[in-house]
Formats: sequence, C-alpha cells, structure tokens
Amino acid sequence: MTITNGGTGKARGWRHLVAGGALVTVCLTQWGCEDVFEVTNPGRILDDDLNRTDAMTTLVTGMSADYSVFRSEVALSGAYISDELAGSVSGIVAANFGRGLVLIEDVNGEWEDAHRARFNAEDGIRRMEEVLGADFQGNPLTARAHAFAAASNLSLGENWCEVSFEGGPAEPVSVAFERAIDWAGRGIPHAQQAGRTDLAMAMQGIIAAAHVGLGNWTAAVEAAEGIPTDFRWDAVYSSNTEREENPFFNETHVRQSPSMFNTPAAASDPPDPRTPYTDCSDPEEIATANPPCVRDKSSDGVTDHIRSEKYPSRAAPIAAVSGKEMRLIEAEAALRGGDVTTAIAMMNDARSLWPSLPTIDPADYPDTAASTFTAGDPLWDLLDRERYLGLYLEGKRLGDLHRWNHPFLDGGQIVNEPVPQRASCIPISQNERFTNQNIPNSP
Amino acid sequence: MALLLAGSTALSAQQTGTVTGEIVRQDTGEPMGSVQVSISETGLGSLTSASGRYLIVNVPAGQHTVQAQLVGYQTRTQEVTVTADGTAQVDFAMTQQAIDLEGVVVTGTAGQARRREVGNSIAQIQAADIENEPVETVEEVLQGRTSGVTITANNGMVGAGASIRIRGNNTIAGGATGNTPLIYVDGVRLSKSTPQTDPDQGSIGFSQINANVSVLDEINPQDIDRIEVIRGPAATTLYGTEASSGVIQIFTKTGTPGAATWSLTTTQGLNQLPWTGPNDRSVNPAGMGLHACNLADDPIGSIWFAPDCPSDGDYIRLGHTQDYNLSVRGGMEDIRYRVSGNLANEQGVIAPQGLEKWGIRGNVSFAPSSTLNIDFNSSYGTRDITWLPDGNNSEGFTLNVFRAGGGYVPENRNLLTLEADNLQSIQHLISGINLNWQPMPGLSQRFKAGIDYFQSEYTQEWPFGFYARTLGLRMNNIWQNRTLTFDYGGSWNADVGSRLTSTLSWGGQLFTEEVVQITGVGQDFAGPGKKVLDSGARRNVEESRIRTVEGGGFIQQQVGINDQFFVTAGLRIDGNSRFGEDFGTQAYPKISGSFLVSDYDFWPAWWGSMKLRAAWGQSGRAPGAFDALRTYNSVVGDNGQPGVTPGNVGSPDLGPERSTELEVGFEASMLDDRLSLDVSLWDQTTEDALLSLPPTPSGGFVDEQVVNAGRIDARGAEISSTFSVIRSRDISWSLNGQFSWNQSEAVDLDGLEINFGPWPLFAREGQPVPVYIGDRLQNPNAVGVDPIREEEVIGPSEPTRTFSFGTSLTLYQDLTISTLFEGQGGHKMFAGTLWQSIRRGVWPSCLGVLPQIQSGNTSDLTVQERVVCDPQGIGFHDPIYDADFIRWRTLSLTYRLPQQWLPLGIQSGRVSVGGQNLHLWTDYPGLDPESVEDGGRGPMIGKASYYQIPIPRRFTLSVSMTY
Repeated sequence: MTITNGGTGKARGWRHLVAGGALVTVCLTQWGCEDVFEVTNPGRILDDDLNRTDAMTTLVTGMSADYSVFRSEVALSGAYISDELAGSVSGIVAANFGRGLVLIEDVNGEWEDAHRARFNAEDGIRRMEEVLGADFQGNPLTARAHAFAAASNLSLGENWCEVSFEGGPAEPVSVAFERAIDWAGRGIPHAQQAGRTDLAMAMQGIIAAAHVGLGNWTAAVEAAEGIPTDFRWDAVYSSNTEREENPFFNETHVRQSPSMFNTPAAASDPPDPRTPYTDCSDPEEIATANPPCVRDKSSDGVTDHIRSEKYPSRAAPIAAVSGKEMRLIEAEAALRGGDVTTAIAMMNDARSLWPSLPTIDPADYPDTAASTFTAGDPLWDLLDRERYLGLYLEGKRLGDLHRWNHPFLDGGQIVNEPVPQRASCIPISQNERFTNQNIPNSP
Repeated sequence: MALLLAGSTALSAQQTGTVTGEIVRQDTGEPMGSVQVSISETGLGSLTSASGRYLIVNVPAGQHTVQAQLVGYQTRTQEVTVTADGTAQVDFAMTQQAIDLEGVVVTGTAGQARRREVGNSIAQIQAADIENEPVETVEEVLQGRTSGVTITANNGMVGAGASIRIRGNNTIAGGATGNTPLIYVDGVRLSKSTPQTDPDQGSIGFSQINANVSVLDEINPQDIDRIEVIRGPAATTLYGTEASSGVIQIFTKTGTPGAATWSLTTTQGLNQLPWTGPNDRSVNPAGMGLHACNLADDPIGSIWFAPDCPSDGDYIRLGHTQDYNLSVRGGMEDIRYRVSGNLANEQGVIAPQGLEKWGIRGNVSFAPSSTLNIDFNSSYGTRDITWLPDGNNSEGFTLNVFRAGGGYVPENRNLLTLEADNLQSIQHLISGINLNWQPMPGLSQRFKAGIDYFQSEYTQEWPFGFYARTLGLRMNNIWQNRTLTFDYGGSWNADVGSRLTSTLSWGGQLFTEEVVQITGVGQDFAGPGKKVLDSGARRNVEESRIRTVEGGGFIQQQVGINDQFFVTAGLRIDGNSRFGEDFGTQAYPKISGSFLVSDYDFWPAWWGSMKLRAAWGQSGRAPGAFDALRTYNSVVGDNGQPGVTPGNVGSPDLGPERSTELEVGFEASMLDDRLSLDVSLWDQTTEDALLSLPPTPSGGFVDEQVVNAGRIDARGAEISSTFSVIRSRDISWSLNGQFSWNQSEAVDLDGLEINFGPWPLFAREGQPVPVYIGDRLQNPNAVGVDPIREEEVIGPSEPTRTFSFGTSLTLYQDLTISTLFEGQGGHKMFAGTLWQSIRRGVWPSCLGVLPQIQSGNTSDLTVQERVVCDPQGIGFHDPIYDADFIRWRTLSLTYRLPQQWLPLGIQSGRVSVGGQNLHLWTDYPGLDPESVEDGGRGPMIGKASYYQIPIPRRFTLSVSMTY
C-alpha cells in the first residue's frame, strides 16, 4: 500500500512518524529505560551482605555444611576406589572406581567439594577477622572455622595424589598437610581461649594425622597422645534436608548400590562389630533386617547385597577426628620404632571401644616387625586389619593403601574386573586442569 | 432532513446491487473460508464464510472486476456487471500457488510484508495443509512440513513434549531450552521456560519423570490458521535478544462475516506400542518384558517373568483416545468472532498413563472506525497428565521391567513402581489485544499487549508402605510462569517518484517474565491414605522467583525499485536485566535484498517466477538471571541451621552472545506453477558465545559461571519443493519434499572441553555441538585378541540431516489420500537401555552368545562380538550408534460426504481415518532413536536414550460436520 493522496497526506505521515519516533526516544532517554532492566531477584546472597557480625554464625554453619558434604563424598568415593566397598552399582563412574580406575573427568565433584569446603572456611576466617575485629580472637566461631579449614586440608592431603590452591601449580600433598597443621595450630589458641576443649582436641588430632601424612611420626605421636580414645569430632549429618543427609545410607540402604560382598570386612561372619552388616541375600537375615532389605541384589543386578550397617540412618555422623585413630597412629609409630608391645597395646586400646571385641594377645604375634609396612608381616597385617576395620568408611583407607603401597593396588579385585594397577589416590580433576593454566590438561 | 435521508437511501438502493458467490478449491471442490473477495475500484470487499459463501452489498451498478485472494492460492479475478437491485453470481475455483510471492508474512514490523519483498525464506504451514491430518499437537504439525526444523518426539507417553530445533544447535547456553526457538501466538510471546520433571532438578526433588511438557501443547491444531517459521538470525534480527534460534509465529483462526457456522469434529483413536526391543521374537519373545511378563516356562522369555504380571500376561494396552472439537465462527463486516472448545481424553500404552484436557478459545475482531481494528485473542487450556515413572530413576517402571530382575524392585515385582502417583496438572492462558491503526493511507501503527500464563502443579506420592521408602513421601512442585508482552510498531509506506517505494518501520518491545517455582517435600507418614505435604514428619521446601526484563527498539528502512528489487536495512538495540551492570545495551544490525528476476521480459515463460534473495543479520541470546552476579547460596547445616556456601563468581561485563548469519537462496516456480522450489544456504557464527564453565575449582567457587568466551559456527542448506503432478477436476495428485542439512562446530571454547554428563557428550573445539566422544574399539573384527580402544570423536547427538517426503491424491474431489514420511540422520545416540541390559546379561540379541562369553570360550568370536555382549567387557562408550531413521509419520484417508447423505442443515461433512508413526526404519539397535532424554534434564543440550518409552503408533477415526 502506498500513499496516493498527495502532499497533505505526506505531511500528516511525517507528523505521525515524528510522534512515534519521539515516543521511543523519550522512553529510551528520558524515562530512564535503563532502570527498567534493573531487577533484583530474591534467593541469592550477595557477597557484601555477609559483612556483618550477625552473619558470622551463618558463615560458620555454612563451613560445617560444606565440610560434611565433602567429608562424606570423599569417604564414599574412597570406599569404592579402595577395598572397603564393591563397585556393585548401576552408574559407570562408581563402577569404574570399583575397578580401581579413577579418571580425571570423573572426580570433578570430589575436587570441587573439597575446595569449596576449604575455601568457605579459609575465606570465612578472613572475613570474620575483618568483621569481628577484636572479637575475632578467642571466639568459639573463630575456633570452629579454623577446625574446618584444617580438616578440609587434611582430607585433601590424605586422598589426593597432588594438590593445588587458588589456581596455582600442582604441588605435592605435603603442602595440604602443612596447611592443615598451620590452620589447626592457629585455631587451637582460639579454642582454648573460648573454652572449647573439644575443638582444641580435634585440631590436635588433625595435626597428628597430618604429621602421619608427612611421615613425621614423632610429631604425630606427640600430637595424638593427649587425645582420649573415646574422643570423636564428627562431620554432622541430619535427615532434615537431602543436602544434610549422610549419603552412605541412601547408597547402602535405599538404592542398595554398594555391597560389602567379597570385601575383607565381609569375611567376618558373624560381622566384626566395627563393620556391621546385613546379608540381604540370606533369607534368614532378610526376615529380621531392620530396616528391611529392598531386595537380595545390589543395583548392578548380579552381586549379592551385603549391606553395611556402619551408617544405619541419614543422620549418622562420620568421624572426622577420633581417639581410636590416634591410638592406631601411636600403634603404627611404635611398630615403626620396633616397639611391638606398645603397638599391640595401642591397638587393644582402640578395640576397647567395642566391648565385644577380644583383646589381641601379644603371644600370638612375633616380637619384632619390619620397620615399614610389609605385607605378610603378621604385625603389619594386624595393623592393616585394625586400621581397615577400625576406621572403616571414614575416608582413611585410600590414604593407607597409598602410603603403604598396599598389594591390593596391584590388581586387587572385589567384584568388577580391575585395571592392572589400581589408583591409590584421586587425581586433580579435569575441570581444574582445563581452567588452571598452571596445571597440564593430562596428569 | 428525514426526507432527504430517505430520498438519498432510496436513490442509493436504486443505483446499487449485490455480488455473491461461492469459492471452492479447484482440486477437491471443498468450500473455502476466509478468502478475501474484493471489488477493487470500490473499496468494497468481504471474507468468505466457512461454507465458502460471500456477499457484497451496495455495489454500484456497472462493470466491475471481482478479485478473490488467499495466501497460498493463485489470485483469481472475474469481470461482472452489476445491475441496480440485481444480484450477480460470481464463483471461483482456487488453485494452490507453488510460490506465493504476493502472500504476506510477518517479519517483526508493524505491517505485513509481501513475500517478494522479503530477503529471507519464511516457511508457512496453512490450516488447509493439516485439516485432514492425524495431528494432535503443534509439534506434530511442524514435523516434516518445514525444512530446517527438527522435531524430536522424545518420549512415547501421551502428554510428553517434543523438542524443536531450527537449523540445529547454535549455542551451548541455556540448558535444554537454549536452542529452542522463540514462539509467538497471535503476537504474544510464550516463555521458553518449562517446568522440569527430572530427578536431578533442585536439591530436594524426587521427581520420577524424564519427560517434559511443552508450552505448545495447550494449543489446539484445529484452531491454527497458519504457522510461520522464521529461521536464523538473519531473519530474526528485529525480534532481538533470544531470537537467534529462530522464531515460530502461530496465528489462530478468526471469524468471518456471515451467519454463524458451526463445526464439530469427533475423533476416536488407539495408541499402540510397537514391539519393544529387537524384532526377532526368537530372542525377544517377551518384548523386553513389556509385551509378555508371564512366560515362566519359556527358556528365554522367563528372564522377564514377573510374579505380579497382570492376568492378561503383559503390561501394555491399546490406549483409547477421544477428542471432540466444536467451533463457531461468523460476524459482520465490522465485528467478527470465532469461538472454539475442545475436550480430549488420551490413554497411554501402559496403564495408568494418560491425560485429560480441555480448552477454549475466543477470537474477536471489531473495527470501531474505518482506520482502527481491534483484535482480542484469548485461549485457556488445561491438562491433567498421569505420568508413568520412566527414564533414569531407580523407582522407574520401564527401568525395572527392562532390567529383568536386575533392577531395584524386590523379586522383579515391577508393578510396585506403579503404586506411586505421578500427576501433573497444567493451566495455560494466552491472551492478547492487538490494535491496528491506519490513520491515513500508507501509515500503520500497531500496539499489542498480551500475557502468557502457565501454571503446573506436579505431585508425586509414594504411599505409606511403598517398597523404596516404606514410610512414604510426597512431593509437590508448583510452577508459575507469567510473560507479559508489550509491543508497539509503526510503518510508513510511500512512493518516491514513479519507480521507488519506501517503507520505514520502527517500534519497540518490552517483555517481562516471572518464573516462580515452589517445591515441597513431606516424607515419613504416620499411616496409609492420601496425603498432603504436612502429612510427613519431615518437610522441606524450596522456592525460586526469577524475574527478567527484556526490551528494545528497532528501526528499519526498505526501498523497492519497480516492485522487483527490494533492499531492507534495520537495526535493533536491546537491553536486558540479565546483562551485567557494566555491559549496557546490545545492537543487532541487518540488511537483506530480494530480486524478482522473473519479472523481466527476458525471463522464459515456462519458468514462472524466480526470486533471488540474500540476507545478513544478527541476533542474540541473553545469559541467565543470576549469571552476572557474585552470590552465595543458602544451605542448611548443623541439623537445620542456616548457612551459606559460595555460589556464583559473577561477571559484571557479562552480555549476550551474538549470532551473525548470512543466508542466500531463491524461490522459484515453473511448469505452469506446478513445481516450486525454495532453496537456502546459510552460514552462522555465534561470537561471545555464552559458555557455562566451571571457575577454577581450587579458587573455592564451584558453581559454573557463564562467560562470553566462545565461538560456534554453523552452516547448512534447506530445500523444499512441491510438485503438482496431476491437476484436473477429477484427479489431483501432488508431491512434496523437504531436505535440510546443518553442521555445527565449536570453533573456540576458550581452550576448554565441556562434558554434558552423565553421558559422554561434549563440546570440544573443532567438533559439532554437542558431540559424542569416547574410547572406541579399534580392532572390532579381529579374532582371538584383546580389544584395543582409543579415544575418537563418534559424532553429533543432534540430527544433521532431516528430510521428508509426502504425497496427496484426491479422486473426484471427494476422496483424499495423503501420507508423509520423515527421516532424521547424521547423528549418534547413546543406547542406554541396551547398555544396562547387556551389563545385566539380559539384552535379547546377546542371549545367544552370552553362555559362550561366560564360559570364556571366545576364541572364535570377533572382538566386537565378544565385547558388546560381555557384561564385564562392554564399555560406556561402546553402545553409541548411528541413529538415522525414517518414520512413516502420517497416513490419512479422507472422504467428503456427498451432500445428499448429510442430514438437513449440515453444509458439509467428512470422515477421515488416519495413522501416525506407523513404521520405523532404522539400523539403530536400541529401543527407538527418537525416544530420548532431551528437555527432561536441565543441563542437557544433547540427546541420549535411557529407559524412555518408544514412540507408539496412533490410529484415528474422525468425523467432521459443518452446519
């Protein structure tokens, strides 16, 4: 359609055109259309909003929450990679872990959860120092934050092959252990000043475990010996929300994925009290299982489901620092020093937490042992078994296999056909490698 | 005065007459509604009613030319002599036009543009194209009828939405809906967001469904007048940010002048599940356990024996469907209306899956003055869907049936999974008002305002005593999505001298979208019975409210020379609340040209018309609502206490990605308008591509951060053609075909590789987006050696070729047979169901060789034979196969009932029998290459198959009456 009625129409057209254009121009320039695009959506917390004293408790609770997520994830993955659980699962990643195959693309979650927990604690401490000022010193929140920073670094050191911080280069895990010692050392005075002996003891235990990682046995024993055998500092879980749940329960009891079938822990029948289980493939046990077994097989559909009862609820805590571990550290240190008597005494001390366990009789063992881990040496085999059972599913086993260069790593099999040389630690993840220019893309 | 008026009226009556007539299709003889009939010298005109009749009164006595015009048909003219007080009969028989260069299309400006002026290819589907077809959704309407558009059905459950891609993938942002085109219904923009029913969504969700609904499925195909598909950024520039994946405009039917015309269509149908799994019944006698679950004594079939197998021996059924549509249209010259309603009940192929739906629509147009027209279009639809737990979840029905005792239910009692209720209730309102004001010839202005309101309530209830959670659980997800559209546009046409025409267009749009999602979970009930959330001893809730605002303005100038050569240049400037605070606005330019070379005298007569065209333009896509901000997330710790965790790193410079496209092509008709050809070549580059990347995790922030960092290229071609083989009054036979090809490449991903887990789908530089990559066998045919695997690029998950072929034959204007075949190919698919079945030793095709593998006696097997059937040996990357397929989409037979058969008062009637998805040809060894996980998972932009229900056949019988 075109204009056909001459100049008058054109003039009117121009007027309308100018009016329309003016309307748009006014909107874009005068009415502040830019403001139209300023939208504040609820639900997220801006960084600056946390810089207030009444946000500090929230901050530390977040550290606790992130640490619990990290702690359970690394314990679960470590259980699959090691000989604690069978990879009798449906998903391919856990099945690969069960074969001892740990690919960098399969451990992004573990690496991210580790650093989120570490960063949230470490950066939180920085923020607390700025916001609290004088109230930072000796504050129980300050002490707790230091414990999470130290514990996160410790688990990094115990489970990874290498570490990296803040986009830096790959470094030996000793750096993580040293950071754990540093954070714990700085946190202990705050805990003591705040009267939180539990936190002070937990950080002392972290120092002990970190020194084990560094091979500093004297320092390890020195840190461990003040901690009672029945002491525990736990990563806490709850059935309150899914994120707070201990994921072991969902995997073992709900999904029935990882079985204890063919693991050293399942070799004890009846079960060792440290590694309780229900044999869901046994009709007699099915009848009395509480909670009931869903079925007789694990989620791979072929493996008998031997259900671990270590974590029988969604709220079951996972020990982050424990007195029993301290005794076993002392036992290993003694064994390395040739003190068999003390070693067995410390192991018996750890076993005392389970009254039904018989005491180890020194007479059943030789008087001497190798100075380093030696498979086949009765005393080292004993310590191996005591640490395996005593610290079962607590995120310690993979580190033990690694530092001992355990023979299980040489093609050990639970159910899935293993790779010839099983992984003994978790590599730096693919996402870190691809986004951190200081680390090569391939291990 | 009264006398004067009476005298004037009498004089007028003496000097005018009436023109009336009937307009029918030449090939079928069917009356045609909505044909514009005009007497050009007088400005008088009318639209035909549904019965094809028209009436023009007060026509000055004398000689006139009557013109009948309808988009897609050749314009017809007849000379007529009107006598005072006389009635002239002028009938027309309309012939479909191969290339309708005078037809108008919507291009984003205030006015409509004739095809000859447009420098892009715009596909159109008319109501007449589908009126006899057994289609029930908009996606089915589009399927195979528009080149460059790939529709994937996704899931065989009724109510499951299909996914739409136009020209493949050109972004890896936005998750499952990132490559979804913008959709407008009568000018009202629909939200791209859909409620997710996926177990991975949210932190407290337990949803069991891997199928998503589509926002299009409340639109009744019988209400559709036409659909226009605008492909690629070169054509969608004026639609601004979010339009780079194309635009689909749906226009619904409007009223026609004349007496009220009622139309009633009733449809009865059956959904039937094809044999599931390998067709060889000797190895798959139970159809993977769905078609027989009682073969306890069969040596092979007993694998799928289930102790709770229904008494009829299987889990499937013939799903009955019924659909009723009633509409009325009519009006006068100044007021027209169309009101319609539909009611449907569809059973899926496995009880209790099914849906019930109803909807109403009212379209009213009125013209308060000769320069102002107001349209009010409104529709409301509701659907209640009963889902079947399918896909990737351990409490899924299909997963447990197909795993044949190796699943999660105790003792293979698969019906336990159906004790769960999975219900979704949807309400969808689309309403808009459209004002068109033509204050003077040549100047038109348009104002639109509309709302798209979509609400979904999804509830899942595991009853007290449910096998997987004995104390029970209930989840309720409320999703509300409200999108407001405000659209102003103006257009001014002018002649500049005798040869030049000018069209200046301008306008601005504002869109606001608010998505509210509230999810509650209550678990651990005190006892049996139907529950509400607070029946649970433990309760959790999540809430999300996201509002986004997008707006912008455009200006466009078109110059035409001799009505043969047109150049159009335009610019759009956009702002968006999702841009970073330092980013500002984004400008998208465009330029296009079209050249009617066939209008020149030298052009051969046998080659009817030829339009050359080229277009260059840009469009974009905005990041997510929170992507630009540095945020922390609320978490819970220490047994219910509030905490915070690092969330988004943030990027204040974040802006949209920008897609630039060059498109060239032509549209031609020849052989007396029997043959049409529409060919397009296009090349796209998406720069500043939005990449959702993990920040360096050792920095502590681990949520993926969207950054402008990448570049994705894509190119392709589209061809569509129709050929009228026979065009006589007694026999009409036509062929049509479409072919499109596309290829994408991630040129720059900032050196990164992105995995769209859990499947081995990646974005990798130099490869299509997304692409399957994995360790593949290098010595598949070797015998007696170990498998050798190396990483290789396997192929894209998105089809790179789509094609269709259809034909329609009409005999004696009464009987029409039409059919359509569609194929997709060039892509790969992860056959997840096959993979998990092999791992459990229950894949039918492997049962023969399995004993040999398990005994270790494999020396005479090739590596391929041994590995792909070995539960321990099959790798995660082995079951990725060519997913090419051809599907017999539709077959329909329609008989127009003779008038003498019709009861008194019935103007026309017809009976149709039809079938859809009648047969599948494929070498893909999994269940169904089109039954995939896509859209049901937020992070996914690719496709993978994992325990979805195969696409069923549908048979329908329809009876339509108009009176």
